[in-house]
Amino acid sequence: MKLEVHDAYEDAFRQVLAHRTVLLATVRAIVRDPHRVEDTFSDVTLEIVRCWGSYDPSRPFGPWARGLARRVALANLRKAGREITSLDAEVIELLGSEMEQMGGEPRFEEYKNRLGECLEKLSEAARRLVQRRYFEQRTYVELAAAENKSPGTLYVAFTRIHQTLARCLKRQPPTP
Amino acid sequence: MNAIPPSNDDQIWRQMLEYLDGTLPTGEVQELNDRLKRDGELRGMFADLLAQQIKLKELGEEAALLAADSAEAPEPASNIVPLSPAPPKATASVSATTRSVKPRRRWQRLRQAPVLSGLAMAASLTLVGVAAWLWLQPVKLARLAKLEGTLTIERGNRKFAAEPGDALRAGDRLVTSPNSRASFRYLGEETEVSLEAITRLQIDQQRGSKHLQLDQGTFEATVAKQKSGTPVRLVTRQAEAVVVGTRFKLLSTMNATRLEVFEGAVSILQSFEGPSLLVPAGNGVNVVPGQPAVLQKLSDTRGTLLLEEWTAASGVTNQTYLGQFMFSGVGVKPGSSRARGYLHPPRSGAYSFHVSGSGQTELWLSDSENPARARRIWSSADPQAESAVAQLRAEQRYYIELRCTSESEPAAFTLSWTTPGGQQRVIYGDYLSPFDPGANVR
Repeated sequence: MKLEVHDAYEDAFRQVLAHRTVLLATVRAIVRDPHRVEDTFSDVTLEIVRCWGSYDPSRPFGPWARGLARRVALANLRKAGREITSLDAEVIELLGSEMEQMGGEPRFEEYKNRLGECLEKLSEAARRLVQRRYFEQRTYVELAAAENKSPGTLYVAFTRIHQTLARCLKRQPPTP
Repeated sequence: MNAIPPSNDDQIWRQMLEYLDGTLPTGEVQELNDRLKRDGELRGMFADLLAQQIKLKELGEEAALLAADSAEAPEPASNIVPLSPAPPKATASVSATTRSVKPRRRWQRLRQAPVLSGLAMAASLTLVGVAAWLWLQPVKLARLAKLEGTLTIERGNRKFAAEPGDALRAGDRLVTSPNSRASFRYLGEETEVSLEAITRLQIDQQRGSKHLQLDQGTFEATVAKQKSGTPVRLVTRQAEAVVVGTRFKLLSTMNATRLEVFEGAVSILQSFEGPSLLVPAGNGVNVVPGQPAVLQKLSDTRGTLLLEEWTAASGVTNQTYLGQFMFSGVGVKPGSSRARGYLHPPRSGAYSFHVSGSGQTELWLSDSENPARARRIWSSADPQAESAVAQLRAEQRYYIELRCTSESEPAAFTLSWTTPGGQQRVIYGDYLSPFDPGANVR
């Protein structure tokens, strides 16, 4: 199969890449299940490419794309017959806007690198939990069985882990 | 960590975590929504949590890629600026991964590169990367249409619970739990596959042909007419079958495969011995290594049960078919009813039968398809008997008969069963076929 990227879509792909993390966060905040987030994000990318003709380049890309992302994510949830109990559109947009203020993709790349450094400062047990939860994508129920702990105890542990990481990330300011 | 007492912050972090895991109760979602709307600081915390979760997942994916990378990968020349992390050590552990990436040094080196050309190159590479990523995603083959109970999708190293509407991709393994049933439909055509409980099926596509590998359990499929040269291929431990368009059911255990064809024809080939055998509609075949495969006639009306009504005065008054082992009595006069046919257990093991009926009710079961060998296993006349238990084999069909007599009200009954490891349910038509007086009995 020959891989072709049509010129007209190049800008669309570029913009998706430049806003990738914020768009992923928008999808994640609605869909939540990390496995479905991937499928939905590829649908969002295709939808943005498909609707590229209706995008007004004089307007900011972020809110327009996040609107499409919300629509696709909600449509996928409906298609899956899932009850929609997500945050409302205004809050999702406020969160997207908040993340946009954190910076573009280079900032998020740096954020990831600092996060990697902060991970190393966690205890061995906390790192193991992070690895199982986020690297191996285990659910809390699976994790609870593997760790012989209740899901409630794990939520407490992950609350502390994320708070510790957040404090560490604040202490390590981004490279100017 | 547990020594620190919980605070308000802890509670809100936990609420956010539970929301993102989909476990936060609906009432609390609304509460979180309202707080996020009015509290900018909280939005900042939530945005940070979202970013952490997304980036932790990416770090995990990088770790997995590194683990898969060859340990002999050459070190990049010192004058080449790496645009993506490519550390030499292959490991999946958190600490080793984050150490080997050396992010700070990478950024320092990146800053030394000519900015514009670097950005242009990065943009081009990422553009091709995204296009390639989209292209290299396993092909979406089907969509999950129905689900009762739990179905796990195994995709690469990941396992996750499926929900109706989920896309199924080439290479996915579908695993149903006890007491679960699921069906999926191929995209762009009418081919539909239904999985029964405790079934493990891999779906794939090879040179345009659909490929279904049944490791365990039972599935039934209605296959739309396939393009010439691209039949559906079915593989079990004991056999391979080729289908171009038909309706059939395939069951696989450790020792045997059973194929039942309802429409069209299926060519089945024992993996290691014996010639291929064409199984026409209305026939079934058991494939057991070392034994010749012999065609067996099926009932043409599989999925139903014969119900006969009669009265003492006029004999048999009506014959009809039931879609499941249940009859409400609507439309019949007081008298006797007999539902009979063949039971097709989905798997081997001990089955409990539970009967409820009006008037005098009896359940008869044979140890084979021969009605002459049926014996009464339950009777409403025995007040001690709550249920009856029988050992059944999946590869066999059993003659079953329920008799219900009431002189004062229409005969009505329900026969349910508890399958091995399952829950009590009415016996659906999927596991029944009507009595066929002309059938050869063994």
